[in-house]
Amino acid sequence: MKTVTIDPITRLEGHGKISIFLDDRGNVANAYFQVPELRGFEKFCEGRFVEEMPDITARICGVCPEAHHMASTKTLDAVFNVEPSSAAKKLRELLYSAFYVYDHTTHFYILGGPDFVVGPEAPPEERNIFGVIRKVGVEAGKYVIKQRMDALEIVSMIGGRKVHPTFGVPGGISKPLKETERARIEEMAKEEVKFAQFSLKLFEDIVLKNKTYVDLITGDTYTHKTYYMGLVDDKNRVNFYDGKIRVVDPDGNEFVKFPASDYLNHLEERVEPWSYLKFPYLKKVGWKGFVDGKNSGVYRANTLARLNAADGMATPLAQEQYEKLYETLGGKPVHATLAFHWARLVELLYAAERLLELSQDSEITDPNVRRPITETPSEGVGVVEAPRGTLYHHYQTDERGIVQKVNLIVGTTNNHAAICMSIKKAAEGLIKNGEVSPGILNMVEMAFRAYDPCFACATHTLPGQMPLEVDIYDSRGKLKKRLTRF
Amino acid sequence: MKIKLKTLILGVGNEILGDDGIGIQVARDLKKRLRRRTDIDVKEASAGGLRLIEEMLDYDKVIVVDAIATGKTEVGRIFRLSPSEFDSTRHLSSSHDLNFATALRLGENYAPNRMPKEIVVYAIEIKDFSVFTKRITAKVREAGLRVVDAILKELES
Repeated sequence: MKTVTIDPITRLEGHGKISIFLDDRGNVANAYFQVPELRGFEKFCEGRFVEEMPDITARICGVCPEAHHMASTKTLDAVFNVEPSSAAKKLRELLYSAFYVYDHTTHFYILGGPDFVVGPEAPPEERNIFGVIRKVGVEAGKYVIKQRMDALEIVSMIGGRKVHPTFGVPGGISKPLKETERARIEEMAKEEVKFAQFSLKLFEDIVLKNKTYVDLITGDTYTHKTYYMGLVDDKNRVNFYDGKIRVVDPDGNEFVKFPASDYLNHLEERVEPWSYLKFPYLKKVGWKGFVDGKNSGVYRANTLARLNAADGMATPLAQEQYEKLYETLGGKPVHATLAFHWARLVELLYAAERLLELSQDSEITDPNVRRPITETPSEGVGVVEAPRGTLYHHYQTDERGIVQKVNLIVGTTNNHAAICMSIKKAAEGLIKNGEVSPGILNMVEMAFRAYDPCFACATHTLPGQMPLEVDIYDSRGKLKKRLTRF
Repeated sequence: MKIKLKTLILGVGNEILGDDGIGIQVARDLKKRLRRRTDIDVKEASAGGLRLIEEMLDYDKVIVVDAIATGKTEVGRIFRLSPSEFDSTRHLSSSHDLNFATALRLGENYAPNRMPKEIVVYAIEIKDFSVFTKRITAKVREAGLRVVDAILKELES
């Protein structure tokens, strides 16, 4: 058996390694996406005060600390059985909306967007943020950077720090918002709405008006008919901060809707000997392997999945864009993996609009942002939508609030099985009878990048010697050829 | 009109992943030693890429302290690198949102007036950063103390 290894992937958030196994005839037999193991997280948490968890879990990841901080804070509400005030909830959601603007902007323009904006056929050294700026112009490039920084400034105004927010406490947040801060946020939010519209227009001009791109998006190579998961509000509209978890089947019908505390009744985690990371699947459908369809418990989370799992968006401009996406791509649900990029921009607009709405809500300067704790801590589950998928935190404590048990399902993990399937499908089209097409790196990278994956990004070590590599082994396991990108 | 020259010391790393937290530890040590210096800020950042660049804006000089894992030298070895030396690693992958060198180039191109005039990176070779712990191993801790001394010396001159 031949092994093709792509290690690691450029522009991936967190280290990853792709191994493609060929059968005796030289065609793709299996594809695996592996991540390095980080050990002992549960043990590290056990024995600590549960109030430390928002800070500790935010450090699991340098890319989306806000998502962990928020899920963890909500878990503390549940552990102490305390309901935050309305103002506190709104301020949490406001910070979270700003975080989404920041994170989706980063992904579209810096990580995922280059594939489209610069073009899937462009040489790899062009497919980066500089290529994007060359295409959209320097002024637009500066605009992107400014809007990203403004969103980050909002996060730090409420969260206390730019990188790791420290504001979440059980029953609320640590400090109220001043009127001067509110007014400043409102001004920035107005600009973020315009920026999101600008981004959607850019996508329309560059991608949707180009038939080759649209064909690529809707083509079979990047399509999987799976279940979809996302948080929805009481009207079944997308919500990032709160609500119930809704799952729709591959035909778009509601399969189940459940509160966060019930997650263990609906999700099971598959363990594979070759991966440290688990594969969550829908318990009531069952694990049928790395396959799609109604009989397979594989589901997807993240941008397009949230849109598929909901009936619409809660803000007017995003709702228009939501309808346009489904009209253009042939109705709900959309199964095209590359449409995750488009859905990301619809969500960017929603996040900006929600940010503006909340910044104009007079209640958010209410000084009452923290409710006292009166109950004995025990157990709780907290869920938010991380940009990369539904994020579950679950803690058990003793009566003093000392952590006894921790379980997390992180955003990208929801998509782990689907990512492996997408890589395999992309590779199948490009490896035939032992011949590896030179386009394989681009196409395989595009397959997983749509998911905006972020694995085990807890390390912040400066890079060592790690060029992008494809290793091809012969049937006896001997290295035959090594392709290096840079 | 130039006001006062302002220096930032930025400790980078993850303090719950053992030796990866050495940059944070060095920043904390320096914060204590430099309490009276109003011209110096000391910050911690468990992040990379663009987020680091955003922290650096509007300073005259930035000293970054981080862990590095080249796997080619002994643990505890100290590197003092300038951005030009980072050019050779520009296209290398990283666990960050953007690798540091690319983020730096982005800052230089699109916010040139706000970028520091001088950036120095102190990097300490580490080996294992895959287990969650707050413990830093002796060799790396000792190297961290040497970096503290080196930076204090650099600030005096």
